[in-house]
Amino acid sequence: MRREIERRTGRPVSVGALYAAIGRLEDKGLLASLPSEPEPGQRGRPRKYCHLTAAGREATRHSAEMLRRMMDGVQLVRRPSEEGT
Amino acid sequence: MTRPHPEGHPPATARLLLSIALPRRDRRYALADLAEEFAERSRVEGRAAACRWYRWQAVWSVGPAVASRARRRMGRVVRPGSYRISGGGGVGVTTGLRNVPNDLAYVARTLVKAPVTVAITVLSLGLGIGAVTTVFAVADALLYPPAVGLREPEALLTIYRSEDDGEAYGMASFADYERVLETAAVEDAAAMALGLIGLELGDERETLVAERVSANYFSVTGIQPVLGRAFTPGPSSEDGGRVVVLGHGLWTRRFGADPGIISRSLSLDGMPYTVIGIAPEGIVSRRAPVRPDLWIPLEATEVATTSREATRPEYLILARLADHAEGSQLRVELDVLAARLGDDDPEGWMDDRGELRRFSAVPERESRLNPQGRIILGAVAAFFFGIAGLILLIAAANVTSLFLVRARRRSREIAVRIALGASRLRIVSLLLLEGVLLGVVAGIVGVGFAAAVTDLLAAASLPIDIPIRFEFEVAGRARVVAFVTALATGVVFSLVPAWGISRPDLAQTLKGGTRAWPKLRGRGRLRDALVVVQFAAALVLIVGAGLFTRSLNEARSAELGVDPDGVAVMTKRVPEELGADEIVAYYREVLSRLEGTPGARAAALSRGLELTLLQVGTPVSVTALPGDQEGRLAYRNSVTPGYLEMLSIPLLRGRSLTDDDGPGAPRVAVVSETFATRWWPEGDALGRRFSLRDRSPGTTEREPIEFEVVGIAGDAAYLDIGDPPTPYVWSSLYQDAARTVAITLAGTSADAMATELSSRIELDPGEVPLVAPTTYRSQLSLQYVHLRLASSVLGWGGVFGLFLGLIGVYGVVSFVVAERTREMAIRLAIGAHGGDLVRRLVRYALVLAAVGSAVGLILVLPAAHLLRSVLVGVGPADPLSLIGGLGLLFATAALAAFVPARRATRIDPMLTLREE
Repeated sequence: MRREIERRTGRPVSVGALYAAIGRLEDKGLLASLPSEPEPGQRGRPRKYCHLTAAGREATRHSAEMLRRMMDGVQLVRRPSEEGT
Repeated sequence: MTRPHPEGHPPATARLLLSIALPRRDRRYALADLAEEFAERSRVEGRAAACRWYRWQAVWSVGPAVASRARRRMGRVVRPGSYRISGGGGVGVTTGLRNVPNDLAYVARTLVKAPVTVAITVLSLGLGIGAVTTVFAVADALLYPPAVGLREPEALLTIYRSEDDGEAYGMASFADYERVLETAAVEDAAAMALGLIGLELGDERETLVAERVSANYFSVTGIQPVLGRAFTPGPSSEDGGRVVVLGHGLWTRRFGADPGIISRSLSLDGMPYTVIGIAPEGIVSRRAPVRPDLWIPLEATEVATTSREATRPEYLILARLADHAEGSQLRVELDVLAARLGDDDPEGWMDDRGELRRFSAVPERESRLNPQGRIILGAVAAFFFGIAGLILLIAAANVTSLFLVRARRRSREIAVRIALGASRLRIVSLLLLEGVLLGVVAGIVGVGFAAAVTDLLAAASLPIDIPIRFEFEVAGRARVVAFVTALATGVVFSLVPAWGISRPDLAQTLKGGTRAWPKLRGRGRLRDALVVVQFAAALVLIVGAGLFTRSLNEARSAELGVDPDGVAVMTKRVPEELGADEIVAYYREVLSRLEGTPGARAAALSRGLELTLLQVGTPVSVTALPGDQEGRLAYRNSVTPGYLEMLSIPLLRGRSLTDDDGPGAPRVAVVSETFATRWWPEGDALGRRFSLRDRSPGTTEREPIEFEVVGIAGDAAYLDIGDPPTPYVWSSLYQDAARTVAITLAGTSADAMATELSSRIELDPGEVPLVAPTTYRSQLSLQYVHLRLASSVLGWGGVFGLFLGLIGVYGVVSFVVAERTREMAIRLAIGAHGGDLVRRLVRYALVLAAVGSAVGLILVLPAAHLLRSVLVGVGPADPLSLIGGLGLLFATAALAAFVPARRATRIDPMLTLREE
């Protein structure tokens, strides 16, 4: 998950920040997690699988919508200044 | 634990940091995540890169992880479902930091209402922080002198030659320097020697610190003069003449920073020198931590180039590596050079232990101070850091208990706030802010205090006519140290009480019961512990002060072995133009000038003066003849006849030195009894022969000289007061011909004799004596400057510690009295006696003092043991110092408890009980 964020944002993310964020989302009930015990074998390690709750899905949709609307605004503002230069 | 990966474990410290910081619920998952990626990264990018990445992860995880834990612990958990889609607000940062400006104003208001608390806190912490900062600033300036204006300092190395006793970091000779210049790894190298030079300006004479350097010094170092020009390198340049570059300090101090000084002529040691440039500010010599007043080219003094002087080990070599050369290459070449020099002249290249000398090359950064001197200075700095740390500890303990009491008083206010819904985080952050604010103010006071003390230290000149000027500054790193210390103490003294206060029993506190304090016993113990800490630290300081004061007294009243009463002394240089055979005649002429001085009983010349810093005995290596293989260390002074009698050095057997022991006569010596018994344990030393090799730095006579023992003198510590008796030799000055001599004149009054000396002995033009006419006693007192310094520093520290301890006990007992008012009222009401009460409270304070002294004793005994070589005439466990310190401590404790206890007996039971 962390590496995915790093890839998309293009900057390093610390494990502490990631888990703090997950913890916050869990507290708010937007995310639920399922711990798993290590599987036997060379690469076995404790893992935590996360999935969105219904509220989480709703919140994500909401955020995405907000973001889209924000970006609309940004483009409207930028265009005249681009013409000006 | 997971099984070890083939790539190795992640860095242990970083892993530990993470496992401490991460909340428990995430810990194992996060660590497993990181371990997996670490393994992968070390496979792909290598272990070093993986470790770097892991450490980065650790460092940047601490903040979010701690914040997340704090949020959960402080009960600021956002309940599931509280995320409101429409609102947008409500889920922001809830750490309370947003309110800082408001909180700051609130905290400032509450502090203004408690001016006494604030004043005590700021003053005592300020003093503690000031002490630490002062020591840091001075140690920093001495141990890590700045290097100004160097070009590519990475390529610069200092080259040392091992000394006679095998010590690695000694000076090299000019001949060595010329050989070093030829090595392939060296692009260029400068030679430097430090010395004194007399400046004559009109009627005024001043001794200055001069660095004599090879003409390429400025081009090798890259230092650019701020005005004028540097020396022109090259052996046959015009600057081979007498030119001088002035130090910035001398230029501003003596010449008002007048740019017109360039091309003017100055008289230095009676010779005219032309000023050609001004060096930038802040250049520190590498020979000693002083700032030279001026630089003159070696060529100007003509000493280096003559073959006899070329072998004198008095130069430090600063080499610049050639392009592409490494320090290791230079070291190899120096080893080869040392071996070759050893082959050429095995006798001369051997040190006193019979081993060949060697060179060492130390990077510029690590050689701003002689690596040997650094160790000694480091130990001295550690000693003073210890004292400053104790003072700070006492101050911090005091302020912490002050704030415990203050918190107790405010418990009701805080209970109200919590009942009204303030979170614990918010309360704690308020208290923290208070601590930080006070800490910062105390830090500012501390920096001011440190600046004042360092100015005083820099202005205090040594009581000797050597012009060593120090410049200390409380800036940069020292300020950082001050503020970090201030913040840390601020956080500690506010957090300790804050922890308890933020979880009070609300109902009880609001009802107003005095028993509402949570875990009363625990709190009380903390307060007691703080007083114990103060007493322990104060005891260490007081006992230390006692030890040094006793040493000082011992040193003053010690059997000196010489009688300094009525003796005055000055130094005089033999005029340069006199040849070796004319020196003795000159001595006789000086003595004849002193003949018939009114009130004088004797006059003499000598090479050094016992028990002073004036050439404190010349170290010599002595071999008894015949048969004694190994030379052993003794000390020598060369004197004119009558010197021993003048200083009342008792002659036990044989004869003293006479006028007949002149230049042509056989060499004879008077030796101390220790000398006699050490070299000739059985049989009489009189008439025996020994050979002596001068080991003083800068000597040119390395050949052994044979002497016959003609007299045996009484034993004493002739070098250092308080030492065991020294093996000591007095030989005839007429057979030694020293170039600088001490002139001593004895009479009824030393002051009168000093005046006679200055009027009868005329200085040569431009001569600035090392010691201007003064009394022998004033020179003796220089011997215990360090004792006086240590005893006064420790003494003041002890007084301060004791005073704060007094306030501490007073505060604690007053607090106990206030807390138990009702209990006491009842006791008094049912017939308890007031005296009983006082006794109980005083006993309580004495118990604290006893525990404190026990802790203090555990600390002080090993510390004193470390200092035993500095102490004079007292052991580290000196009973008088210990008993005195303990007595003072218990008396203070009793007094501090007695005053508030007496007040308690005046409680009116009726009034108090009705109030409840």
